Amino acid sequence: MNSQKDNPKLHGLIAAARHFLHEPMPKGVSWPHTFGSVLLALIVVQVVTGLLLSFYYSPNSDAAYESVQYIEQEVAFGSLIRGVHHFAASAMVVMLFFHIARTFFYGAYKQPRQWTWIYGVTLLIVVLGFAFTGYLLPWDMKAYFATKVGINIGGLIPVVGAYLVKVLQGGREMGTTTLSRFYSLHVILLPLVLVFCVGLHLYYIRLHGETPPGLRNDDKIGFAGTFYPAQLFRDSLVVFLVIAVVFGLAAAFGAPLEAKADPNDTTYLPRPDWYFYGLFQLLKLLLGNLEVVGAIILPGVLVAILILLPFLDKNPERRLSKRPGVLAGGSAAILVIVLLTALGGYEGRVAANAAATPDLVTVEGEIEDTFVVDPRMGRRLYVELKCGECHGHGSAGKNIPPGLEFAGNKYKYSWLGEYLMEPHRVRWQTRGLRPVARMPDFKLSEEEALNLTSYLMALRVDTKLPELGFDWAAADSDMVESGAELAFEYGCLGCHRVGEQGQDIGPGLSNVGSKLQDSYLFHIVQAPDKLIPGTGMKNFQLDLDEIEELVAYLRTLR
Amino acid sequence: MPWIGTKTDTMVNQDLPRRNFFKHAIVVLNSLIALALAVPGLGFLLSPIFKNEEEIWIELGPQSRFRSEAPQKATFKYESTAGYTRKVRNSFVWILPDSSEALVALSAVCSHTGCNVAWNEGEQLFVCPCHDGRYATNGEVVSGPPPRPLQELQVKLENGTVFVKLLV
Repeated sequence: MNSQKDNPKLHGLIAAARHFLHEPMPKGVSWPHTFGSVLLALIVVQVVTGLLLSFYYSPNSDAAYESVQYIEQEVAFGSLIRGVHHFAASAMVVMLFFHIARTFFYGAYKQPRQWTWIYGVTLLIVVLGFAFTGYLLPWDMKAYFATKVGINIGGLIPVVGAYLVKVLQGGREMGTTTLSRFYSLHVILLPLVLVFCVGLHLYYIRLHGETPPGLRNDDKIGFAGTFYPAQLFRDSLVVFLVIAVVFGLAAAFGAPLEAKADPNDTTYLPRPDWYFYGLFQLLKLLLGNLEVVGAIILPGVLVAILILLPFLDKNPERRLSKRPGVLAGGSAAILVIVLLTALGGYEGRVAANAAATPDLVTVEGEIEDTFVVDPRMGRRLYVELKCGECHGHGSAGKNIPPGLEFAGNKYKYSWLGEYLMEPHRVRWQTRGLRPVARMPDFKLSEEEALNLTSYLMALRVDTKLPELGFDWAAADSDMVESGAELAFEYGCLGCHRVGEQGQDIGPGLSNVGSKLQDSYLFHIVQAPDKLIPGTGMKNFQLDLDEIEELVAYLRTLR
Repeated sequence: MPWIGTKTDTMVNQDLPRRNFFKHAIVVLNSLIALALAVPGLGFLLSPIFKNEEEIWIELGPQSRFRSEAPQKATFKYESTAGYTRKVRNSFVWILPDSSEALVALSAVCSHTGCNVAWNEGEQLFVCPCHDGRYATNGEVVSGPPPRPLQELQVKLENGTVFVKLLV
């Protein structure tokens, strides 16, 4: 068998496979070169699990959530398959990050490999497109509101923004048309683009060969063996480990599924999945007119730089030590992305933890009564009890029924918990000029009331109600006294009741110190209509010292 | 993989045990990955097989309603579930003339291609409209393509009320 041409086994597909497997590997190609293969393997995992999920999923806003629930609860291995799809998506973003960083620092984007790089960057955008469109499909609260935020960001683009929003939504509002659009994008259009780009990406990789590290572009390349078996072994091992982690996470945690999307809910705080935390954080830093900078311009510039990189940097040098500018720029970009993402994650955690401050509440007595306060359970109660019917949409900023969009800045944890347990004991009914509707007693258990409280305490609008530097706990009796005098001078009792004195026109203040937070008292006295638009409470234009004294007095009313 | 590893392997000198380990490890690792996807995947697809459907008993009414000379059509509504959807459907069974103490209920579904059979008063036969299958009063095939008699359904009596078990 001297001539390979005579061997029938060396034609067609087998020849093609040999061609791939016997690709010569330059010296120095090793573990960092496995990331691309891991991504390819994860694409296969996503195709398989996605195909499976589509057997049960229904892209219709009336049935989507129910079908996902069915997959989770009724279908054999349903929770695992969906979990794998979820975590493999996250793994792809992580691996893309490593893959791009490796290519960048190795200088592998340089001529003649510019097209490998450009199709690679296109694939990055396609994968983020998958993440964005896939996110909506379960049609739960998170899906609905995170997508709404995403679509609204698109609306910030000058001139075309408004049209883009309509096209993405498939109409004036988000609904079943949005869902079927995203489904088609996610399972038909994007996969076609993906296959096309992956094919070309691989074609160019094979055309130009792997990039050996630590050389100039025009240096002669030394070879050390073929792709099979050594490099394929490394690929297989890393792929195996990554997939094992994905399966482990899927089995341990599963993919999250919140309550069914309720478009009327005004209290839900949407947070994107972790890989969009960086962008999310950027948007928080750049408010107002700067928003378009963070949402559109900066990411747009970043993508443009990535795509044009082979043409901007024509230096044939690939050794990092000779590319200080690129090293510094790339490291800085990575640092910023990692920091923003970590910051976004940290703030999310702080918000969640703040909500559940007394994390473990042990009820004295029997062991069975021990429970953990969980704001997620509270959020579920909020939906089940339809709290939003009165306190949600339309009540924003109102006093009766109170809007809860900044409940966490307003109420004291202990008062809210006690009130939710027995609303009619704590505040029997509203009197005077106020409407007669009153809070129903839902007969919540202590656990339920505290879960609900911890959820409500997570609802904060710190931009409207910033924390204050002043510590009223340290206020002396002189201050309290002058506060009491001020309350008399300004005629607070003309509307508010304190004990036996005053009128029932505004809310009673007899125990306002145990109910409301000091900083809320400060803000409401300072500018009532800013927090409660259209309120009957006058803005008395007090100076800061006066407000501080008033709060010092009010907080003693318990 | 016999077609791999012939000529080009001699391109470089590598020690054979190391290469052999790589080759075996590649097969083992990738087989494990394929298995991890295939087993749950297959279970996921075949899930309907493993599902235990619960019995559905339909209330047909008091026993006194079924005392006629000819087979009697007993119509009913039931809630049919398909995955995550529920629908109320109309259906019926045939109750045979009461010859003894026990009531006999026949499925109206023809054993041939599944059309609903009707009682033909003149011929005293159940006739299927699709391919002219004919069944006697007791459900036995008289003529036509049906391969089996009409299926008899389980019937139970509770305090004088007739229940029939739905075929699922």
